[in-house]
Amino acid sequence: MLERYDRQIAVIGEEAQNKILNAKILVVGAGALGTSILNSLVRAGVGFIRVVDMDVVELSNLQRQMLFDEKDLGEKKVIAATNKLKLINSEVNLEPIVDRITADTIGKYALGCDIIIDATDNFSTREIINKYAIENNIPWIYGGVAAAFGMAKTIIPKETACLKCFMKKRTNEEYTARNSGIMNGITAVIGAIEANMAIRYIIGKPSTKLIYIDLFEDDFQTIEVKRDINCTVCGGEKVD
Amino acid sequence: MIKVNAKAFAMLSKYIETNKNFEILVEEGSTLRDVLNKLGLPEDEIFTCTINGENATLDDKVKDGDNVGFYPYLGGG
Ligand SMILES: [Zn+2]
Repeated sequence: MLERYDRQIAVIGEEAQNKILNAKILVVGAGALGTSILNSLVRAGVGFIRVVDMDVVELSNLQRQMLFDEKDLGEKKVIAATNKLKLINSEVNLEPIVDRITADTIGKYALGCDIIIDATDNFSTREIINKYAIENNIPWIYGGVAAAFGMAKTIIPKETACLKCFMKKRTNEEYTARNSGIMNGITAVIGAIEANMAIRYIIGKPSTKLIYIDLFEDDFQTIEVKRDINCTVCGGEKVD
Repeated sequence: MIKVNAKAFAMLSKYIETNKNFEILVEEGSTLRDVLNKLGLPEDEIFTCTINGENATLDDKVKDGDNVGFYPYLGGG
C-alpha cells in the first residue's frame, strides 16, 4: 500500500508518511495556486483535503490551472479538480465545496483541519484566514503571485510571525493575475512550495522564512520575519 | 551622509529605472521611510520591507552599508 510513496518515504521515512496519510487540510481556492497545491498534496498522500471555491473553469484558466482541460470548461472548479485528483490518487478523501470563504463561513470549513493553505486571489480573504487561524490556533500557509513574482510563508500561531506582523497597512494596491498577468511557472512553483511547506509542518519540520521568487530575474530571496509584539492580530503576548 | 544598497522588488521597480541593487545616499539617522521617499516609492504599495534580509518597519533606522528591500502586495492566486 505504501509502495506508491516509496520515493517520498526514502526522504522522510515511514513515520512521517503516516502523518501525511492522517493529515486533514483545507485548501482555500482552486485556481492556479490551488490546482498546483492540490496536485502536490494528493500525490503525496494527504489523507483528507477539503477545497473551497465558487468559480467555474474558463478558457483563460487553462494556461496555468494544471488540473483542468478543455472538457472542463463551464464546470465548477472544485468538481473538475476533484474528478482529476481521484484519477491521480483514489486513496485521498476529497471534499469539494462550492462556496466562498468569508468571516462567517471559514469556521465550518476549517473545522477539524490541521492546516489551512491559502490559494486565494486577494488580501481581504487572506486577512480573514489569518485572523481565524490565529484565534483558533491553526497554522496556515500564505502564498501570493502576480506576473513572474511570488511569495510564500508558513504561519504558526504565536510561534512565527502572522501575516499582519510583516504586512504593512492594507491598501487596495495589490497586484494580481487580473491586473498584471501571470506566468504559469510562478504559479506552479509557489503552489508546490506552499504544498511542501504544509507537508513540512505536518511531519514536524516547518519552514520558517518568507520566500520571494522572481522568475524573470533569477532572483530567489529568503527573508527572516520576526513577530511584531504590537501586532493587532497575534500580538499582546511576550515574544521570545 | 551614509550609503545604503536599495532594491525595489517585482512591480515596485517600475518606479525607478532598475530593480538591480543600487546605492543611495541618505542623511545619517535616516529611516527606511526616508529611503523609500528618496526612491520615490509609494508607501501604500509596500507589502513588506527588509534591512539586511530581515523584515523591518519603515520607522527603523538604516546604517551605512545596509541592504534594504521593498516588496509589493502579490495578491494573485
Ligand atoms: Zn501578528
